[in-house]
Amino acid sequence: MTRKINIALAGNPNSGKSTLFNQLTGLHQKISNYPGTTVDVHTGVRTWKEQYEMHITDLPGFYSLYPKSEDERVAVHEMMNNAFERKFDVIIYVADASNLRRSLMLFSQIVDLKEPVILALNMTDLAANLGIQVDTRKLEEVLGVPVVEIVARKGKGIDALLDKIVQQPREPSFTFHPSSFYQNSVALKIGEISGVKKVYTNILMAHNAAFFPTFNEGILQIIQEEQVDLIALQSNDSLHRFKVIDELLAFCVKRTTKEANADFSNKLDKLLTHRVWGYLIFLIVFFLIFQAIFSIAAYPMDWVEGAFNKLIALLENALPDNLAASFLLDGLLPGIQGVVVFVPQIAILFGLLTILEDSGYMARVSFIMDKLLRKFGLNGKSVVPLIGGMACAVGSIMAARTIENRKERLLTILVTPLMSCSARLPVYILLIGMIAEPKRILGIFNIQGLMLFGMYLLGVFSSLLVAFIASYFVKSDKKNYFIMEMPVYRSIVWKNVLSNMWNKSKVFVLSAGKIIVIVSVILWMMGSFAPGNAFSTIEARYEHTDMTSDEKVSAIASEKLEASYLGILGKSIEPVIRPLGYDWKIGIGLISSLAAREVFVGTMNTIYSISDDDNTIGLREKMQKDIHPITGKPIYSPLVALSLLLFYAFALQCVSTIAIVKKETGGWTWPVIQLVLLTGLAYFSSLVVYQVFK
Amino acid sequence: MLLADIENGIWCKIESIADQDVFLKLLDMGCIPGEEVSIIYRAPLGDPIALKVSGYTLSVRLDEARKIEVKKV
Repeated sequence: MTRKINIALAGNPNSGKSTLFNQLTGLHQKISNYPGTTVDVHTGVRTWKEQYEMHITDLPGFYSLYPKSEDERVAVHEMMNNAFERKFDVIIYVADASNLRRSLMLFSQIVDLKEPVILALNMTDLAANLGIQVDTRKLEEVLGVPVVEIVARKGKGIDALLDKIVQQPREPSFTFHPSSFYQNSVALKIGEISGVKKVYTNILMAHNAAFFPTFNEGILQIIQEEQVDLIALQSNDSLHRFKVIDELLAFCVKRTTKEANADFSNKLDKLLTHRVWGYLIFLIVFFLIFQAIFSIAAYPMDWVEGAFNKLIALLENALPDNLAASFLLDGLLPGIQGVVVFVPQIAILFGLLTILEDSGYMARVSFIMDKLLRKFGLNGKSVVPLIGGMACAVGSIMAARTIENRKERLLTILVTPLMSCSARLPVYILLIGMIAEPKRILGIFNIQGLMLFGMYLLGVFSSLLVAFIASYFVKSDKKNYFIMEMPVYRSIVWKNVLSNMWNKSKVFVLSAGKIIVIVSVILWMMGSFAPGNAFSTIEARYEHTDMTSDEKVSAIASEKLEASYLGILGKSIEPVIRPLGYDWKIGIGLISSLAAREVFVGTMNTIYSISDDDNTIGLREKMQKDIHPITGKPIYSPLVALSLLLFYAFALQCVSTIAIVKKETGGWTWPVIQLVLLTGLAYFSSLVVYQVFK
Repeated sequence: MLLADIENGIWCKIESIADQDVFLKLLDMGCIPGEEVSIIYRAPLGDPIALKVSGYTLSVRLDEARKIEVKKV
């Protein structure tokens, strides 16, 4: 029979906690949303010696039991809640041995919770290089806590750690908090209502009353009665801890000064944050990332498309020509394809981001970009979502998680869809072709190319501008500081990279994927049904024409689309979009773009009955020949194309983005604000341009 | 003196931290009164700054460094 052991991994950010988690669980992981929050909690299973089944929870990284962000609150809640419902049999505390003083701060607090804990001293190789030698035996004796030396990135010490877990450690004997806490009247009174015999847990309950709905009111009352200064209590506690830790370190740690490693790190820092080289390296690195998402992802995306096309073609021959088959072939499968096709971009983006994050480079990028972006209400860490947004906003918005400050994170999420994503490219190419001839100016620059570049610049400037304006309206956190650890440089752990690629893709498919499929199916339904017998009338009309069968099929498709509910909707929004210079055909295109912006081109193909989907030039010619029935002028004048170009630059026409914003902000408020704001901006700017230059 | 006004590479001792939120955050990070600190480099636009404190590197904005009262050692 196997024994089940529940384990929590706790530690500071950058302590190597997640690396240890990946070493322990491999890809046997699950990510779940912590109830009521947007915080991800990773869980995984590891069997050991065929007798033990270890259920491991990787908590978000945190710095203390006095939480300051949503991530920290989740971790602290899990730690403290163990006094009430024993969810974890053992806590593994991962400490960075090369940065012991700070790492032991949180550890000292967890020790005082008097829950069974093991101290995993990570990065002992790095510590040895820095001349830091920890006497683990002594440390173990003093604390009454098992101590294991590990090097998580190399998988060293893992077995020893697992053995210690199996031995089920007892509650720590050492106490770090000030002895005055034993007589603290608040702790005593809270102890009476909570029934917890642990002094420090009761003290912390005064700070984190909101975690415990059952005791919340009682705790608040006690705080008021005792007129306790919580801030003083906290600083008294923490300052005392550092004193004890310093004594402990003097007793258990030997230092020989070897600064060679630190020297290298400093030199690299000076290069990467240099006023010229720093920005140059940044530009090169992000240019390469952009290229990777853009061009490397194109291959797997083509495979996905190819595989789906083959599958659909195969089924088309096998299935009867009825509604159920059409639902599968034209609605459901393309919807699923629309989800899967994003996966390569998301996987590559997160693979590269993990590399940048784990190596320590990302902190330097935030460092050099912070001042620049702060002017627009953003944050040094907004760089990643913004640049990633040039490939695809969906993964990039997921990447905004690293921004701790709520306001800066929301603003980043708000403006990321303004960056020119790759789905806009086919639309831009079609429209730019209607505005300008492919001529060269100054002998080298292609006008169309310049315009396309201009659209990317427009994306950058508009996102900064919108962030700047919106920053006056978004409520700020009380705590508005940017205090960030600069982690030391480290080599890449490929297991971390792969598991992050896998996990983020999974999260995307499971959360945003659903909404994308549903919307695709709805659009299919609207396009394939028409009121009354409109469809059969069209078919009957074409029965006795002498067109070739290809011509006939595309002509019928075109007329059917016009008669369908989608066509009716396109016509009914015509009054709204007419001031922008659009007709109902563009209206249909705009609505169907909701599934993905590039669908506009495909829809236009159907409307103008072009059978070859990739025939942009043919489509452009047909569109340009289209004459307005009333004015007798071409519908797609360069001005209309320009107005449409602006609409596509700003409007939030992407269901995937809306779905992921809902997931990342934990509700419908922000996606709705974003939809209204960006689409309003699109409408307004197209309106102004069209009306002014008409 | 304020930490924001100190030149790079000069070691100082932290005397006090004026802002409560900043103080509590720095408390967790081991950047506390009595601790020695030195600015090791600055971002190209002069802000934020990187500090050596408690054996590691911490980045703070000048806004925060203006809240930190220090004395040269």
